[in-house]
Amino acid sequence: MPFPASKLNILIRPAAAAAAAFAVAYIFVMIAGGAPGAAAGALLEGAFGGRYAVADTLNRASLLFIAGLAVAVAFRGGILNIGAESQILAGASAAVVAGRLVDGWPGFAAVSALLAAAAAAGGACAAIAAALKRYCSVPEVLSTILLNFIFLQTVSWLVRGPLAETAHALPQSDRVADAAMFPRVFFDTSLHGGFLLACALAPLSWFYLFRTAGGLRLRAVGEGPRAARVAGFAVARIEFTTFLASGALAGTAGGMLVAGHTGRLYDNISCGLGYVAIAVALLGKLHPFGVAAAALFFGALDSGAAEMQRSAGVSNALALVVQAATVLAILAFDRFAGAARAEAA
Amino acid sequence: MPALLEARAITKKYPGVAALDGVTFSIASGEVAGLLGENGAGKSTLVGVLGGAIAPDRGELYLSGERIRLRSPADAAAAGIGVVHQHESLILRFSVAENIALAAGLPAFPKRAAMIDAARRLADRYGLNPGDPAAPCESLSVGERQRVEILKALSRNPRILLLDEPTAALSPREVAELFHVIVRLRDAGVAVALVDHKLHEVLRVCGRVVILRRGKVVADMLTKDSDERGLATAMIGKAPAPPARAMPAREGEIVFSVDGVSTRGRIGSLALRSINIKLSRGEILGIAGVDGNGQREFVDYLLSTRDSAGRPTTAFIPPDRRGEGLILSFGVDENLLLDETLLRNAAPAGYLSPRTRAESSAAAIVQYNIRAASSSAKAATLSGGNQQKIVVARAMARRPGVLVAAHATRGLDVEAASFVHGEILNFTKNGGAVIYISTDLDEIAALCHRTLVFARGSALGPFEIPWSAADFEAIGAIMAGGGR
Repeated sequence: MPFPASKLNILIRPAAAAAAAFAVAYIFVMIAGGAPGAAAGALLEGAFGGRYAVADTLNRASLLFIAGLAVAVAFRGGILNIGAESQILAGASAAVVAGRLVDGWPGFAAVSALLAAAAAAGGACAAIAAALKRYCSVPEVLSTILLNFIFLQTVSWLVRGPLAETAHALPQSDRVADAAMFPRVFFDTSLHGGFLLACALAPLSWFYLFRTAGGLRLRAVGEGPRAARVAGFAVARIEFTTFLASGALAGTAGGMLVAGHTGRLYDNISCGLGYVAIAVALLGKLHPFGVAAAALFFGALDSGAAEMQRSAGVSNALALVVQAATVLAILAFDRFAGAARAEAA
Repeated sequence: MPALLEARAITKKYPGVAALDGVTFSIASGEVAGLLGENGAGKSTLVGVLGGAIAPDRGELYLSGERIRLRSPADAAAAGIGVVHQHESLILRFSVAENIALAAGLPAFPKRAAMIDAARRLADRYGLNPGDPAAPCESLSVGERQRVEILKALSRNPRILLLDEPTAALSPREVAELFHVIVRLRDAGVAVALVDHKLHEVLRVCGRVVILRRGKVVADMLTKDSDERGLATAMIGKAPAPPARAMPAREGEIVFSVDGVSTRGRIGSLALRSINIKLSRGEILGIAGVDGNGQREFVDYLLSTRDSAGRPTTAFIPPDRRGEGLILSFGVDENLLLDETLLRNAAPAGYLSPRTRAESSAAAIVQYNIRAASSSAKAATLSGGNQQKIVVARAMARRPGVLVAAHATRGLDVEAASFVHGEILNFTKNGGAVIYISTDLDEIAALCHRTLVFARGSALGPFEIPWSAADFEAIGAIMAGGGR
């Protein structure tokens, strides 16, 4: 074999699944009474038509990437963190608090402080579930789902209570200081610093997972916890820190949401980003570069869907259908390939 | 005798190797045929083909002279071919009766009492006692689980029974029981194929022996025309190494001790009762006993011990090679680094360069002759013997003072087992001390200076080598009385 099948599959399988998903979408557009050709054109136009569209796609993809990476790191370490949503909300809340305190700071310091606060809050949120797992044996799937409910309501309370805007007109916070917002300095578009952060995190996380002793320990605990124990790895501690790192990444995504997009906190600010992140992570085969590709795909769908609604009259709800269908198709292709492999072994 | 099941010119290729290369194998009604061969010789692949789990690239199968195609294990079962696999396929949370009922075929509304009754009747019929039929399989010893596996296969009244290394985890008494069952099945007209590594066992029960080497049949002969030495030579293609012999232990310095360790028993685990062990430099201490008498719990205790720097005190060859010794989805190189001490040495600053990884694994691959497609080949693609070489290489690389080896030769062929024995003897020659846990009394008698026998969580003995006839009797009595 000239090229390892596993490496090839990382590219081909998601592409085949995406094609299958588009076929499903095509049928849905027909049923909805739209013109599939025009809808597809609008989708592509919205995602890649010109630098503004591309900038929008990259911004969305950056956010999805960091949230997806948070999930991927946890899953690699055997931690089923379903709580990226709560960690994102914790991160966004802390980002708003920090972003308002840094008024008058120089830009770089202000943005850094906002992100650091977001990461710390996300990590702290994950620490609740991590501690419950480590000291009380509460399964993290359960605790993180429940924490999602709690943090959703906490944000709702924050924007009506302690963080409510001065005008008290809407259930939302005041805007953070301008210095704490990502500067939009690229090519005269909306592309912001979050993109740089994502570009840095992709190779860094790959390097950590596959080129360091810590990464080997993390993957060993995830793939073979009993072998990791025999190896003398501190399994419980590694699980705990993996969980915290995952939470910190998700929290950072929450900070990016504020510093790059909303500038403030309000109800339902994350729009289920923490759940889409799970799909992005799985679609990317839990590999940092795979997650980046998946995030790009989802980001393009996101920004394309808006244009599809404007110019082709097709609801952007359809983009959600495509997203969901893609994940299902990927899982189906994966099982299919897995069964083929089992046959060969 | 006309063949009941016949495989003609079966070829199965995997990337880089031909697991089976034109193999012809047949088995007649009322015959027990032994299938012998080294690890990687193709035995398990052949069992897979005969059992419908593996589709051959070329070749045909004939049942009573008629061509058949097996697309799945279910096809094979419908054709009257029962398989007992090397790796257990039980649902551990289900009871013995439920596992058997699943294999036998379920009615639409299964009744608990009826399932338990059916399991009991099946067990009585074959004289194979799997313990309480209502007990979940996770609470059974390895030997009992093995019996449930066999009962599962027997529950469909197969005309052909394929047993893939069924004795690997059994005590001598359990082996004798199993052979008794095999003989009864044979006399009832069942065709039995027995894959085994232990030559004397094959000679005891098989009328005919087929030997595979590197995917080819190198011998097909009646056992009455062959002896153990001849078979071993045919298997590995050269005269076997003489059996392992323990060196006289050097008296003196105690390098490791366990003082009166007791543990509380939890559900599914046994309480250890004041275990005392003192280990001298150069000594091999044997721990014998029927599986499930506290060996697992003792290993768990040893795994949890740490020295003052928080590092594990001993190196391990853990009992479950595939689950504890290796991570099958990891490469050979990464598996060789699955040890806190080794990993810290390889990556003092945390950075694990591909070069370090390749160099450190290349040395071990050469030194231990690990046969793998490449240093990054997944451990799952290696044969059992080569997998165990990784585990041994890693344990030795730490240069430990004490090695705990549990079931270190389980499921290995003669050559791989003698390799493991050789490594352990070398280790003690250089002053290392070993705790050697095994259910194979022959092995323990050949290797260990002193032996403790585990029975219901207590350690009885010690017995010093050479064992007298009275020692053998005493050990046999402890093992017979100690089974759960």
